Amino acid sequence: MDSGKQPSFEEIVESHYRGLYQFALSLTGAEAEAGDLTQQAFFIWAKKGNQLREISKVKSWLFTTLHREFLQSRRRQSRFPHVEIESVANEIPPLPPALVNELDGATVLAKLRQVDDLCQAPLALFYLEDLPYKEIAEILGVPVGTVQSRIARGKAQLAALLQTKEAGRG
Amino acid sequence: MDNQKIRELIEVYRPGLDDQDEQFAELIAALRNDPTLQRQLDERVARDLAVRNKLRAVAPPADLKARLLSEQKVSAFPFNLTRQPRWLQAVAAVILLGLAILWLRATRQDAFLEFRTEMAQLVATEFPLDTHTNNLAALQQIFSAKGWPASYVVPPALRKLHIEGGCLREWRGKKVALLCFETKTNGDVWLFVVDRQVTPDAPTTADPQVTQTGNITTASWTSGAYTYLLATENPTVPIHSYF
Repeated sequence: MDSGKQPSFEEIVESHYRGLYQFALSLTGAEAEAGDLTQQAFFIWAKKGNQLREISKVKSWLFTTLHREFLQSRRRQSRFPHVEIESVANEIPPLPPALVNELDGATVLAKLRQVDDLCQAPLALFYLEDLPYKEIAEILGVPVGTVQSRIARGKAQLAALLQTKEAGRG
Repeated sequence: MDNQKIRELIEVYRPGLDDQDEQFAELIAALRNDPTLQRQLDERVARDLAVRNKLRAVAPPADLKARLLSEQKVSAFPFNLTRQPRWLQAVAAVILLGLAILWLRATRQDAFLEFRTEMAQLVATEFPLDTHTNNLAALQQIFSAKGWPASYVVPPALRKLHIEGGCLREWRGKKVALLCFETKTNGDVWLFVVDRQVTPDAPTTADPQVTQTGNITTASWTSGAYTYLLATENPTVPIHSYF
């Protein structure tokens, strides 16, 4: 997308719908619900997107909105505890890339869905979108250190899950 | 930076993407001098890349994009003025200003007509007076004390009638003074006084213009700061006789 001009709705959809859907799918694990969340995010953009001053923030805005909609749909009212990266003690189990390559995307996604709830969204954004940690933190509404600790913890859990026999059968 | 901290950071550091992030500066420096550490990073990056490629290969439903675009057409206002070129915003602003002026003019043109109609409807019904007095000067003082129009001039012929009292009324949030005169045989006569700015489309001269509004005959004129509306319900007495 050319950053010098204002993108149309169609251009914004074209640029972001795939990543948003994948993020939604990593959160919900259900295609229909992921499609609905993606649709809801763009629906809200169509209604309120003109309030966004910096067009370069469209991506963050969409991901933030989708995540917020997801949380609301889950009626999670309690605030997540703040865990700094220093407190993460999990060791990442060895996971050969060749093992991952034998799996299909749906299996990897299913394993991601088994990771601790708190770690799923940061981990999904880590893998799916090349966003600075600051932006991931803004999207999720938690400090940068918390984002990184959840990613590290989620990676350890995912690596362990991917090495199970069920994953191996793909 | 101790080994524990390095191990934590190496798990989340993304070469290229996080190079400008200050929290990784020490790690990047350490990587330059530590081949073992660099190898650990390379292995981790390869592992992440494998997972990333799998996740990014998950395709959205084939019709999702079309659904998103069609949804937008029926749900969203398709024209976002703030995203249009400045010249177009300026044109739109001029058009909106013009429409606003036209609307204001239309409103102002109708103001006196509505005022006259509503006041005629008022006197056609029973309504109580706020103040009962037979002293025209006293009534004027009361109006003045309340901040209502009070510097009015009552026509000489009307002064000869018996003043019964008056009312403080509001019309569109503006103050209207109402004087009620009583005749011996021809019913009541009412005089409304309002700031001339309230009904700019009212007759601008001091020559009364007579109009029939239902059963009520009115005469209106403007003099000084005020517009006057005289109303009577007795058709047998020419309203001119009260000027």
